[in-house]
Amino acid sequence: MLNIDNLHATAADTKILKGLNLSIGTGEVHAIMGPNGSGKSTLAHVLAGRDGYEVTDGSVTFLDSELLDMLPEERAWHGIFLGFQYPIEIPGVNNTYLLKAALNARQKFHGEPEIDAAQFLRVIKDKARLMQMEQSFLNRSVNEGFSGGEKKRNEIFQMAVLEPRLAILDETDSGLDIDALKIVAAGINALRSEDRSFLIVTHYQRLLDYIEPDVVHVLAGGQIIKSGDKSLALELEARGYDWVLEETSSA
Amino acid sequence: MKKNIQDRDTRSAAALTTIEAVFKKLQAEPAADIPAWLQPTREKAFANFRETGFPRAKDEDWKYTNLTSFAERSAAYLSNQPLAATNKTAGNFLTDLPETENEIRIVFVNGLHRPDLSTAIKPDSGLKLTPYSTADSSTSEEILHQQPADPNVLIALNTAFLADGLAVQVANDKKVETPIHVVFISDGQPCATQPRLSIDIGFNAHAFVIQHHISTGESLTNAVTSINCAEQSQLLFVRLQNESDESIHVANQVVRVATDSLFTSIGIDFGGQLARNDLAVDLCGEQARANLYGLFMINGQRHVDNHLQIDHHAAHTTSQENYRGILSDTARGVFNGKIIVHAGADGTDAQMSNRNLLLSERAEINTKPELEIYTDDIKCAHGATTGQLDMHAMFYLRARGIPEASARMMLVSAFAQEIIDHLRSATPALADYLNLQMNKQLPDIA
Ligand SMILES: Nc1ncnc2c1ncn2[C@@H]1O[C@H](COP(=O)(O)OP(=O)(O)OP(=O)(O)O)[C@@H](O)[C@H]1O
Ligand SMILES: [Mg+2]
Repeated sequence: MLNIDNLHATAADTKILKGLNLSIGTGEVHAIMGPNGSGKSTLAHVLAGRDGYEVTDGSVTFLDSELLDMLPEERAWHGIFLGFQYPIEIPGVNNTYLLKAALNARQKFHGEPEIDAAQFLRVIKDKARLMQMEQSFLNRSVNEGFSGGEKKRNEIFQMAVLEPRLAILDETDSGLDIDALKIVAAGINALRSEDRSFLIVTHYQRLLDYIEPDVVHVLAGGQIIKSGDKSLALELEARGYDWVLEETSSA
Repeated sequence: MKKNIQDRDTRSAAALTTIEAVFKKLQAEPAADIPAWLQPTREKAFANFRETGFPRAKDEDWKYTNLTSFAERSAAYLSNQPLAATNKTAGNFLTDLPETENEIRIVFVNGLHRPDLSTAIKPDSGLKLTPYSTADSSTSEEILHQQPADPNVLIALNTAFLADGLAVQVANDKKVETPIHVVFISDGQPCATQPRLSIDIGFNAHAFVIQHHISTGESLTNAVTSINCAEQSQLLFVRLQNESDESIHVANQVVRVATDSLFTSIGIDFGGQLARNDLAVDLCGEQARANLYGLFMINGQRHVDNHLQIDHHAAHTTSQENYRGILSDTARGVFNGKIIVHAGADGTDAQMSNRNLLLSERAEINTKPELEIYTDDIKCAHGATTGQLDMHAMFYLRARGIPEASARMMLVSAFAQEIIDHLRSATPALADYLNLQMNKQLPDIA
């Protein structure tokens, strides 16, 4: 589904990604862990098309298209979803309105008719229930006045409504209390399917207790320096990153 | 530059001379449409106007707004004033209007009341609506009594050429729930419209008045509203200026708010080539409150100037101002908020906020708070911000699949909602109407 080949990216002339390779198959769940400042959010942003990053080398294909040639909205229409590490507040833009406009823009792009209003309302009510969000949140401005945990839940709620092909979740588990973590994990698990893939950035093994990843990667210094199965996350939790860094530098 | 200034003043003076000739002619042969009881007031006002003259280029209050085009268009139009509004198509302007439930709608075309387009005015205990053209002698006395005490030159000009207007009188203790929607239409004829509204809210009375301006072509409007809120009263006053993009629109509102009263004003300017609003509020009695909200949205070379002055005369008076501007292309906006806290107005609370969204690098806003404070015991805060669209919000929306152009429009509209939301609580229909009007213009602006 996603193929990242030798990706180099800079921001403000600082080299951040330095030859990153990563392949995610359809239906797979990949976790990325790594020290602060190693480039995890940068990778997520470059994949979603944020301004301010320059890709200096490498390529990314997504479902057989050149991802890096697309505008952010085109990437969304092709099925990319980014759950933000720091979801922002957008006063004056209604949550439900945003989702409806987003779905309709995607429908239009694919030459499909607008979504049925009643059907849409049913969907968002169901998904809000899944995320244990109060209905009143639906009619509030995007994230305005939401607590940190509510913002993260709202990200997963949006993902559930938009049903992307590839969800990139940047530290969705950070700042969640134990109950909220379970809700978020349940929300993600409910969306796991054969034709949907996940790239989950996290610092903590605990999320991976609920969402079993197929592959765990360590991102450090702008590269994936180690990959393994879910036991790698347990090992990182126990031993930290130093041993991996040493292993690669001596290799 | 200097030459330019002289040129402006010379042109304004020439316009004044033409206007004087027109006035003299009207004096000799008064038009049939003009109520006779207005005549002495008109003459006095003209003398006043003549003496003051149009603002000089150096006048601080008119630093950013050049009235020469207003003076010249006034001179041109007043000399061929077609008082009789013959245009039958004026009704077309009304088809777009918001469907506010059970509103009382009073329509003026080219300055004259049009009963055929208005809600029939029923005698109502407590609410009296009187077009000047139908005022009896006691009402005309009351109307004259409520003239702004110290008229500026534009108010004087309006009065000098006043032909018709509407008096809204709400009796003591009367709560009028129905919106009173006063629509002033300029139908495209070269007419110098001088709309006039006088609103008198009695003791412990409530009312909701919408002053709505619509026009087509190179229209010219010089509107005056005088408002009096008696003790313990509440008035929600909405001024909605949606004139054509070629119009020149100036408007004065002079407001007196008595003890324990609440005056709320929402001023919206979506139209106008050149628009200037002067809102002057006197908080005369203790605990009098004024909440003033404003929003404008302009593109091209259009110009909107909001001048506000709040005088806190009494103790424990409160004012709150929140004005927002949206500008693109080479549009120019002005916000001038003056707060005067007089001696003895202890415990005054005055808050002023002005926020502007510049959608192009060449758009310009001049914002200036002016505080004059003659007492110590006050709480005063003001803030002004000018910024562009939030790039983080843009990316968030686009990452969800909103196309760039739509995302821009969404954020511009969002910026306006804080002001429009004040209307929503009073009348959702009008808020929806405003959003509709805004959405029509957004593709050109965002
Ligand atoms: N726009 C930018 N301009 C300059 N430097 C940037 C920019 N964005 C990121 N960086 C730098 O790139 C490095 C990687 O940042 P990034 O946010 O990708 O790290 P991260 O792995 O997500 O860290 P964390 O675990 O703390 O979230 C950091 O040193 C950061 O300061
Ligand atoms: Mg990060």
